[in-house]
Amino acid sequence: MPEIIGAEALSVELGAKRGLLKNRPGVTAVDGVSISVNEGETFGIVGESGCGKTTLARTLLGLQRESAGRITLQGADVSRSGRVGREAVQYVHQDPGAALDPWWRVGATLAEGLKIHGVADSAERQARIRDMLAAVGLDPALAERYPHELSGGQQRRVGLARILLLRPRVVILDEPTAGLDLSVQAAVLRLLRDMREKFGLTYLFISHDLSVVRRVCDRVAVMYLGRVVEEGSAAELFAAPRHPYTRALLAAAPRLDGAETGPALPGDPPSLRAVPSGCRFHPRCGLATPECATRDPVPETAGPGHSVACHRWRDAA
Amino acid sequence: MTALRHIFRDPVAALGLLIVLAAVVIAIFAPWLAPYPDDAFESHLLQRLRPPSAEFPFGTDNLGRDILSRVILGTRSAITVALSVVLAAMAIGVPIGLAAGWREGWLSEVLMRVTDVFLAVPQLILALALGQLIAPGIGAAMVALSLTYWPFFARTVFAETRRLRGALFVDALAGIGAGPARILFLHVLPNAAPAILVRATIGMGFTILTAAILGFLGVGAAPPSPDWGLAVSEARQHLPEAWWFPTFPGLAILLLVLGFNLLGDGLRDAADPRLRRSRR
Repeated sequence: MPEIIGAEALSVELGAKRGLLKNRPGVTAVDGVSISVNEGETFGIVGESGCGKTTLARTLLGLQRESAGRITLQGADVSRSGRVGREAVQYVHQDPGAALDPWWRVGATLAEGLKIHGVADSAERQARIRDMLAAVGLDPALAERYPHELSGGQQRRVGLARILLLRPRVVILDEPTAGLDLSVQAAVLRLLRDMREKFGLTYLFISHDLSVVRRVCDRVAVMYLGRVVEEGSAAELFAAPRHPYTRALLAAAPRLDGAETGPALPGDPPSLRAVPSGCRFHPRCGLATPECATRDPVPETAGPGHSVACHRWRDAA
Repeated sequence: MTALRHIFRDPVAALGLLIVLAAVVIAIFAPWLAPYPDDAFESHLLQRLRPPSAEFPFGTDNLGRDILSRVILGTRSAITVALSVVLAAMAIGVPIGLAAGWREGWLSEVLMRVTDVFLAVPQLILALALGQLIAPGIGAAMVALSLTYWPFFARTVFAETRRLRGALFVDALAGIGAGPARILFLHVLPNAAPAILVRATIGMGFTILTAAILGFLGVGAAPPSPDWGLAVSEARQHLPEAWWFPTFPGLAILLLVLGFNLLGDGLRDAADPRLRRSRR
């Protein structure tokens, strides 16, 4: 399958400020990330809070300017263009309730996106909104409600409907199941799958919920401190994780069958303001050698479509 | 509508609304409500300084004019002055607050520092100075009040814009490709409207009070117009014998300012969007 959206050596600097008297350096939230998402697949990005998942997503979307690297969308270079020319990529927020203007009725919010995208005819807008609300499993009468009158699951469906109305090719889903109880979570995931088939979508699925990622993603990239440390097909990555960080993440996932979970990762993820030398994971890694503290690992091929950035992945297996 | 219902549930705010509505009705129908509408400008020296009676419920003033009529006729100028000052202050302050709040940078800094400078100008002194510069009168007082009240709107809108700029729904709008004008005027401004409305209501009370002070100091309304502050000032020479002369115009000022302040507080509570319900 051809690539639909990709990034090459993408770096994003946040918080840099050029003042008249003082220049404040920023932090590099995403540091040389290369990913390639194929048309029609669900590509997962996992990692701890603060590892740069959301920044990467916002940069692919064009809301955040990259400081270096290249972004390609449907074969065209869209680097440094901002939001212009990226209408095919849309973003569903982590908290879709807060992503709706509290003063606007749901229907007005949905119509607004269409208006911005040049659907001038009011009757056509209304018809498309009715169809879309039905497609995401909502009563079209809900268009008259205010956002705070909806349940969490309904808000998520509205958030998805709002994006799908714009007929995107790539949808970035930021923690689409966070804060939902399990039955609603399952319903939302089923809806996402149905929508992908119905509209021929490609998903970029950002989550820290490994059990969800395992269920829905075709390929997964694991991020740590702004870098992709391991990338591969979901089946292989979850069955045979290579990077010590991935292994620790998987081991730390709570299990319902009562089996012993692995040792938790020691310490917090280090701050982006003080990135460790060499391999960024070495202060928390059980396999670290003196080499890890000095030399930055490059991604190595660990199998078909499976790459890992670790000096000692062979010993970890 | 829901905001109104909320206000009626709050007796103190309902009282404020009642006072303000009554004042507005009185202001509109003043010439028909006043028992002696001609007493705005006509004097009857033979009946000067009569105490309250059935004929003159609030008594008469030093020129024999019916004080009740003059209080009623003064409502119109009080509300007109307050409304024009608040609208003018809004017209200056709201765009400045929006512009300064939307982007960080030198423009925002300059706008807010200018706002701070205007915030530091003493209102009465500016009004006195402008009165000397232009002709003293209600026009100069209104210009002075507008020039000193807009910073309150600018600061309110600035704070709201800063808060809303970081809101997730603004980010989501940028995400679906909404331009800054659309976001500012269709989303940030309506979300800031409750705060602006509350500020405007309290500003009405504040302006009525300050305009009365200016009238009292002789740089506001000029005789013989039926201004409340002016009446209190004219009454000074006839105290303490003619107690009714300053009392009733003074009470009118107090009541209307109180009404606007109570209403402003009630609106602050009522305007919380989380309390809104669509009609089902």
